[in-house]
Amino acid sequence: MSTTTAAPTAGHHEDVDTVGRRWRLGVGFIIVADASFVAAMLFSYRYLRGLNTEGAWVPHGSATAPVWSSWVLAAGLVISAVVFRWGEKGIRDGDSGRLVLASAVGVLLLLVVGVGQVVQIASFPFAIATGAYASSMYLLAGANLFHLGLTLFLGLAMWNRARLGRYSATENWQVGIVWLWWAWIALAAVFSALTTSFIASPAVGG
Amino acid sequence: MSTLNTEPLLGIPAAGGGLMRRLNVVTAAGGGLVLALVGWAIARHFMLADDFGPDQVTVITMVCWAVGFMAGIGAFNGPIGWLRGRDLTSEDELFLAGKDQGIRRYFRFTTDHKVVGIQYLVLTMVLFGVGGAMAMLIRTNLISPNSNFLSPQQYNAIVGLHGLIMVIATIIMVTGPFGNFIMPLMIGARDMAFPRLNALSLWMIVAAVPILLSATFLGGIPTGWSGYAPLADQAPPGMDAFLMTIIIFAISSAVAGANITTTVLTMRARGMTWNRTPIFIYGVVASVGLAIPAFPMFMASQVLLGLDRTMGARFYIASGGGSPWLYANLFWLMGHPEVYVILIPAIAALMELTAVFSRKPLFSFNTAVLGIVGISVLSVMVWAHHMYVSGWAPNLNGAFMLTTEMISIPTGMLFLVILGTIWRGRIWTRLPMMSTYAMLWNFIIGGITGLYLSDVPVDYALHGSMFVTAHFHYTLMGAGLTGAIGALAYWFPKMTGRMLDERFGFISFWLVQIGFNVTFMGMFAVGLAGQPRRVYTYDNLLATGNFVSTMGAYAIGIGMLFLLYAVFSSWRHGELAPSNPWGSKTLEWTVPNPVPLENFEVLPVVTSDAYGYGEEPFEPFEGPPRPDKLEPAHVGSSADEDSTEGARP
Repeated sequence: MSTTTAAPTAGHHEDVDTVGRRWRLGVGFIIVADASFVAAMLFSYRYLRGLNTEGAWVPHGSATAPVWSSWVLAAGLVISAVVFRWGEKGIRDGDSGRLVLASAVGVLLLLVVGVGQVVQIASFPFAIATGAYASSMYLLAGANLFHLGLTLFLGLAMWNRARLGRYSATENWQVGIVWLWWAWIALAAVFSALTTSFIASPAVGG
Repeated sequence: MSTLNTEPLLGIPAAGGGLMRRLNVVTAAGGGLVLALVGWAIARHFMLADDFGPDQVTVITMVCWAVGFMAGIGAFNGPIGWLRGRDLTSEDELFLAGKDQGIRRYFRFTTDHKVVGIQYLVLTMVLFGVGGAMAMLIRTNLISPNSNFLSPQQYNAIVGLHGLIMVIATIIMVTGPFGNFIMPLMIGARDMAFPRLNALSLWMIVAAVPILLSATFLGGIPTGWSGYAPLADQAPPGMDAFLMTIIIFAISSAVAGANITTTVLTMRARGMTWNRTPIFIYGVVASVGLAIPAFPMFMASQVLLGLDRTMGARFYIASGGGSPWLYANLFWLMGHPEVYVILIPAIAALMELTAVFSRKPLFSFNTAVLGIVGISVLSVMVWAHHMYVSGWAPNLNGAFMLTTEMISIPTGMLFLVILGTIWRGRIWTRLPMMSTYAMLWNFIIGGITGLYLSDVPVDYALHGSMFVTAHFHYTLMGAGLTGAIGALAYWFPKMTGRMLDERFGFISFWLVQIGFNVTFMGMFAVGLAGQPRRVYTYDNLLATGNFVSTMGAYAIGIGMLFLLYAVFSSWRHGELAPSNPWGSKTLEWTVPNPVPLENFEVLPVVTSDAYGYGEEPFEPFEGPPRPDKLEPAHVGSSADEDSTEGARP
């Protein structure tokens, strides 16, 4: 392999845009991995619903969760993502106050959704062992809670770092990456709500 | 890569980093033990009331161990500091990179890709050592029909543990050591894209190893490495060790995959177009690129299993509306791409070194790339050939048979590339090249028997037999591990600065390869005769074949000990290696030994491909280097290819 000399870089320092692009790509791959995990869980729901093994997807006489509850939680997440996006756009215009406000509101919304998620789990009219449907609902609710926890960490960091003046109109790639993740978990919650809206199995069990 | 920034990243105040400087593997083990004890005590107090109590206690203890270990090694320092708005200074980053820390940097959360590569190499060797010792126990038990060397329960537990340990070791054996140490050098980068994630992925696996080995004391893994449900639902708490290991390993793999892929996509040297990118890089990217979507599927299968076992969920219990087929699908959606996650980088490493030792350009580079892409695409469309006899979707058997047989086409392309490279080359038969020959022999056998097994009627006859065991050992060990050993022999001078002892290397090679073929040819024979796998005894009619296999296995074991001796003695006392003992043309050989912290003083600009062999006279390196050849006078900074001449013997 023939080589020649590249101009030495001062202190091997890379420009912010290059680092930002690299991180965006890396986080994109992490999201692909997480999406694969979410897809496996949604596939499990649909697969077990479709099979209805021994007619025990939803055993006779057991209750199901209200469909609207998952949609309400997903809507809360979507709103929080939109609010954060508003802040992210603000910092790109150099308005760090808007990012502080949006991060704070976004975190509060995440907390509300998180409490809602715990309430949903606690009020499921079935136990996890009731049947495959019940198990799947607990699984998806737990996964949503896990997503919320991670995003809460990121949101708090955004609020704190924005408050400390870590971001500016030229150095804000971290905010963009957090927005990417936030948007993904909101989308995952929508997919989850959509999947769990279909409860009755098309298969005749037994 | 910003480890030499003279200013704190983004101009942010220093983090201080006092605690960070005191953490190492001892504090990690301590943190893990303390938190595991706390978790165990709390879980035991609150959770032993129902049938799932032992599994709940086991899982909580293991989660606490992993969290405590990672906290103790310093994995959370960065994120927590970031949350607090305190970023690392360039001094902190240099500390994390292991600057001036000598051997201690190997026992810390060190971010330098070369340190991580060596850590992976040692970890892989440890895993192979443990898994190989278990293989010896298995074969010793099978030396005669009723040896009673192991009890049936012990036998099952060891077979499962051996399988999982070896699968993990083979997955990381190329992309871990060489993907980390060599790949950034090969593309002309100063480090990986995300150095801290690099260290994170390594230490997560380290944290998982004690969890996996704890299965020995928790009833073992009686399901084999596939962990099929519903057997896995009923297994003792050793199964919790299995699922926790998989979950941790899957997260580690996703992180490592994102890191390696991003590094290759964004940090290749200027001028390194895709046509000038070495084939090994394609192999590594294909491997981790497959792992990114595939391993989370496996992780999901284990999360569901964990909920079944600890909370009474019904995912795999048919009476509760679940289905073991769900497990089989999720498992094999990962399980078959995983074969190529192992194989592709190993074969790519062999393609890389075959060109060097044939002194010829790699034959049909584009065919090699097409082969790797073809295998990667097809590998996600073949998973159900493992499930022909399960009764799942019999109408799809034909389709899966077709896709499985089709995968032999791109695989054959890689064979043709290697054979075409060797053909009429000026072969320089050194230890690395021997692995190419061995791989060609072994993989032909492994590949053709794979074609038999992809055929539905034949699979109905042979499924679950020793024939299958022999087949996948021919592919994963005969091709994969052989490729990894070739890679080790090839890159050992760059990684350690010393030449690998070829006398012991050749003794090891012949013992391992002859032993390997004796072992698994014998296994093909007893498998065809009807011996099932994972059963601790067999009929007297199969005694000869099993005895032969066991003798072959002992030869492998002895051969591996020779290799181990060669590696460690060479590492300590081997002759000093010149910076480019093989006369290779890829970038990693243009840097001096030992490789500087930041790899390249000035980043290279690539002006031609990596395979221009045979264009100028080459004098093979056959002995100790002269002192004036130990360090190249100037590396990677002259205006043309002559820059490597100073390094060439």
